Amino acid sequence: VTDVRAAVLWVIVGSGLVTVVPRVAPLALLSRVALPPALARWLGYVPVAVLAALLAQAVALPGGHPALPPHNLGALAILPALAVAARTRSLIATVVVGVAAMAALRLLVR
Amino acid sequence: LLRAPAPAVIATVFLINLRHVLYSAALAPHVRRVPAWQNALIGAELTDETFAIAAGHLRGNRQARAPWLFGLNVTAQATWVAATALGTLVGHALPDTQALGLDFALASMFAALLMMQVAGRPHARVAVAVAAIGALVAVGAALVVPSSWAVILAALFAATAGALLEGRRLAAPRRGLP
Repeated sequence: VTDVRAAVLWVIVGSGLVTVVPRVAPLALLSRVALPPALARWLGYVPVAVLAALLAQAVALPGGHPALPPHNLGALAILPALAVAARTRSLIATVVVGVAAMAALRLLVR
Repeated sequence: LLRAPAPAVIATVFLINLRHVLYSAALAPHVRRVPAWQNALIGAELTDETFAIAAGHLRGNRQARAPWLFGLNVTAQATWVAATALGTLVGHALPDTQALGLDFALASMFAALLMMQVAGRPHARVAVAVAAIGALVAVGAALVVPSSWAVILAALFAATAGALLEGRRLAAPRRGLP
């Protein structure tokens, strides 16, 4: 019994460390040094790359698997959301339109 | 979970969290004026969503104010806890959250944040190319490896392409200028 509890403790401590260190170390260390221009330029593109990656996965892989309409309504609902985002640059307007488009599509397809 | 050996569990948790190295590094140039211990606290609360909002706020060479970042993180976490509590207490009263389209809020938010990122850049066409590469690699790689690794691969490929493209533009002689 003691062994199992020790193992659980190790899992909790270890998981905590590997959760915190990747988040904290780069921010704490790289903010103290002057970055080479090439690296700074590279880091400048990380947000665009990551946002496109997260959006593409959220839209193209509903439930973790690739799907096309009509089995993937998100692929359609994202179009009005992107249009509103391009026009208004408003976070809340985009989310409201995206959610409403999704609700409307589910009502139509069902 | 308890049957798996501890090192295997910890290694898996590490790989799922690895993409935050990139988020943390990308925010670093914007927190030069924030004390190190505050940067550590700010980093500890990084998520996909808070990184996306912070990156949108800190375009260009803007320097972050620590209270803004703490406000962002605390608001996000408080909303998470409050919404979880609310869902546990009254969630069964909601008929069908899918019918309301609420599960699409996150994708819509990413769409808005991506659009703001691309639009607010000096090299907008390079940013569009980076977004396209990032999207393709993220979906393609997710068919083969776990989706959190696919995000890392997408970021590495797309950011490298962006840096190379921008570097080439900067190096190219400008026509029309003496």
